[in-house]
Amino acid sequence: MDISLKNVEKTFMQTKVEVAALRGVDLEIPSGEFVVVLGPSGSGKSTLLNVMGGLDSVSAGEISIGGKDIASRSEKGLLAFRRDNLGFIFQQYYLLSTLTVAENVETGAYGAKDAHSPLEALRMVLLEEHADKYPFELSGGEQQRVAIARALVKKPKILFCDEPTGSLDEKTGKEVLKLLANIHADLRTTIVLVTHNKAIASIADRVVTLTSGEIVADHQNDKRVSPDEIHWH
Amino acid sequence: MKKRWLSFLLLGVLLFASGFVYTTMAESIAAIRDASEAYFEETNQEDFSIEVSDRLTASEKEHVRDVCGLQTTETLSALSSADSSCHEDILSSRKETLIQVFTGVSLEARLFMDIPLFRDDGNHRMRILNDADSINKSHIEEGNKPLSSGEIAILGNYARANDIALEDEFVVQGETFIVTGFVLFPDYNLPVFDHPFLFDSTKQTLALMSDEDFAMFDAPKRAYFAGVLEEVSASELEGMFDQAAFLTAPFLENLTLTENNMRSGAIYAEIEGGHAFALIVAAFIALLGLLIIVLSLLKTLRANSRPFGVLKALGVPDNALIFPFLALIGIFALLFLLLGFLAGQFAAHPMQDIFRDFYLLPEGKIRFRVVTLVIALALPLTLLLGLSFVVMKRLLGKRPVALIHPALTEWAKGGLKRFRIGSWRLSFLVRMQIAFIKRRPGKFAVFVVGLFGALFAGFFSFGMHDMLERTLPEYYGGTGIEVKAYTEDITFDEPAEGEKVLELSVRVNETNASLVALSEGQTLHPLKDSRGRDLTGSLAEGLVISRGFSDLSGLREGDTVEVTLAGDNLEMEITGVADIYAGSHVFATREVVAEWLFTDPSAYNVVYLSESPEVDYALLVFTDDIVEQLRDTHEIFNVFFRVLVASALFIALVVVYLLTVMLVEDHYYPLAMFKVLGYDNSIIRKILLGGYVKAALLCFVVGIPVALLAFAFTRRWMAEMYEFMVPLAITPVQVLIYFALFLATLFLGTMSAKRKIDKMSLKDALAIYQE
Repeated sequence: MDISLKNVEKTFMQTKVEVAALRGVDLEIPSGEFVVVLGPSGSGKSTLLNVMGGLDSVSAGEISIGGKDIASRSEKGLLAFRRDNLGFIFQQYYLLSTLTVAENVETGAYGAKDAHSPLEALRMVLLEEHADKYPFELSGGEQQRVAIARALVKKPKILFCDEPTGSLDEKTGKEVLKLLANIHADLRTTIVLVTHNKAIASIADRVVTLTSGEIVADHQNDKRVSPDEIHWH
Repeated sequence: MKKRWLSFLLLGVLLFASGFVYTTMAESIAAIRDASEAYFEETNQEDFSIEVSDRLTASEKEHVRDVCGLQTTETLSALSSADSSCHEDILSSRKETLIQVFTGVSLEARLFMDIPLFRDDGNHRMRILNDADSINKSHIEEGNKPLSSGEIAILGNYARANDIALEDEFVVQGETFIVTGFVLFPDYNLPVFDHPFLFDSTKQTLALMSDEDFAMFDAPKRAYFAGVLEEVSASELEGMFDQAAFLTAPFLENLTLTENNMRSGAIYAEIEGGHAFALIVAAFIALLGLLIIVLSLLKTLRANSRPFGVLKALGVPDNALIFPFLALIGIFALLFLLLGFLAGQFAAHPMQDIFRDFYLLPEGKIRFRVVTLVIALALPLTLLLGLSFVVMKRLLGKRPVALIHPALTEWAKGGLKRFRIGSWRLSFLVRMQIAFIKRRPGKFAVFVVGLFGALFAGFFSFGMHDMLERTLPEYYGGTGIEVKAYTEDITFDEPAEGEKVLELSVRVNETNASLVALSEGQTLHPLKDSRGRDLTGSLAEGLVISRGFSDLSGLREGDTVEVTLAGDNLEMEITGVADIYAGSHVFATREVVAEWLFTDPSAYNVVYLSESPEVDYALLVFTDDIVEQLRDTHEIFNVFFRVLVASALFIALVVVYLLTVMLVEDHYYPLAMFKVLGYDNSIIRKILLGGYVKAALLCFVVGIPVALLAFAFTRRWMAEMYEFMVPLAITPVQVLIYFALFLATLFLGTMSAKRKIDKMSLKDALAIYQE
């Protein structure tokens, strides 16, 4: 599924002052690409991810995914679209504490037309044996892998990742990145990953750099490296 | 906390109610207690009463025949009209015999006459009592005691209800009296004519005449003995009430300790338990208030979690953060509790009047009591502040980082129960609902207990509704009897009209009962069992007992029993249980009983009629009057029951509202997560609330058999404790009505939670994740 953004703008009201989070963003992401959106804190990268994923509305401009306009869709239509096509991974894992690992994964599959079983999804992230545990019994890296399994269980066409390694140390962060790289390689899922960590950019097909809500650089990464090879910042 | 006006309003109302309920109850009961204690002491209230047979024993009949020259007198009441001196002889003799049986007590005969009063608004009834010398002395509330002929004192309540003032004329059976005073008697169980508990003071009154008028008044006088414990205890006295006592005193029927009397027991319980009850109710209301405070604190602390975390990180101690909240809660609570206390002081007056009207007690003084003020304010305040402090301490007791980034530490390990939802065949929704309930057993238990308590109160209220209708009105409604005409004595002549009946007080094994012996082939008094089958055929084969008597005595169909009356015994088999809850009735064939007791099958003492008689009788009792008087009192009870139902539903509403709102607050992060994952609001509602709604419905379904069991238990307990039938029952229609009300309550209670779920926008949800 291609993603297309045309002249997208997003403004917020902050104590009666209008703040522009995105300024005339044009971006085309072809299906199957692994894109890293790089930028410092406050550059608008999370806002960009939210509007692409239909989690937030735009102030102006057009967004289409798979040729379908999502900016003008109703809340209900967006809900169904997100449920059927998109997966999300956040910096915090936000697993539900009262549910087991398998049940947490299953919450991601609800309503999906074609989904893996929770155990299959857990197998993909190598956590099958932890299915009956509660989240608090797992390490931070394992919890993030459960969150990835939850995103993967419904076989999303696009995976949006918002600082997925932000709360992890280097070792577990790299494990998570390896997992995402493998998913991309094996399933050809489109992945859009936003991060402030420049080192992570080296694992992507393409790197888009955002500053103050504007794309200031957009280039293909010819020297893709394995997550094991990157130097963590 | 500024924006939480609705919560604060509800909290204010609850705190006001807490102070109000406690003060009203405590003050009114304290006033009654003080006044009653002085009244009982002044009038020397009986410690026990001994009921004796109206029928004369064989030796008494011999005395009446040989000494007094009365050949056909069969009853004590008939003797009172025929020969007062002979009547006194028999009473004195009975008293002497009783003192031999029950040693260490003093006794006094209590005489009374039941008189119908025909007034413009219908038939009223009066019980005229003798003026006792030492036990159960009369108490004049207002005016003077009637000392001369032509004077009378009646109940103040009756006088007020019928616009009768002191010095007014009052006609009793054609004789005109002047009302000189308003009177009370401490043996307040007496005024009850047809029901062991209820008294309609608008149509029934007690009365006191001068000794001269009482002696001369032309009406049969019935008697019992009032007693005071002198050298024995109540339990020792009960020990003397055995088979040997019946042999020595064959006229003996029953011994009732005042504390076990239905009405006196109730007033004692009211005085002793009322205070504790008021405390519990006030504390319960305050606890509901606490739920609201916890809810508001949760919201406020969540909204200000970050600044609190920063302050804690800067070294501000927890108590310094907690104190301003506690001060605010304290001032707010104190204000409303004080208002409740003041309103309660005023409401105590009408509340005392309700007690006084019902129990016929003197008026006490409502006065400001420091202890009431302290408890009304201190109890709820301590509860609120103490528990609020604990809650806040727990909420703010986290590490600063947990407060600054609450979402990071949302792992609620405590209280999470390891539990596997066994079958994957259950739908996702159901498994999620189970997970959200079963892994939080503590919270779920609070929900179920709170709801079940409220539900049960509702079931009981419905069960009590129209309860009294199932007693006398249903009984008389099932018969064709319009008038019960009582003869002065046992009669053998054929009556001019109606059905001959023998109504006698008997003992069936160990239990007192009212024997109604019906003529063979009579049609006015049908007898049917609970399935509607006719039992009149069973009468010829033995004894038919009422459902009420069966519950009281534990006797069942097929049992063989001994029926005893004034020393004569007859063995009979119980051949049926009639579906009658009114009184302890047992039924037999009149011819059999008459032959047994009077050696003449034509004997009777009552005539049942379908219309007013054309000839005179000693006493006429109109069944419509009895039913109407019971219904008048009944109506007050029905209003009370409706208030109970409404209160129960209100409490259920508050419980459901608070718990579902807290549920949503508690699942703030899962709620946001579901929103981000693309769940529809209706699905989120089903996951978070569905399980609880189903549990609530299950509570209702489970509540039905539990309520029925509780009804049966209460019936047995009341029968054993007070020998009083409480025919609690709930009809399928009532269950349906209650279910509809319950559904509406559940719907309203969960509305706010639903609104909260729907109100959280995706943007809010995202903000939670990106904090």
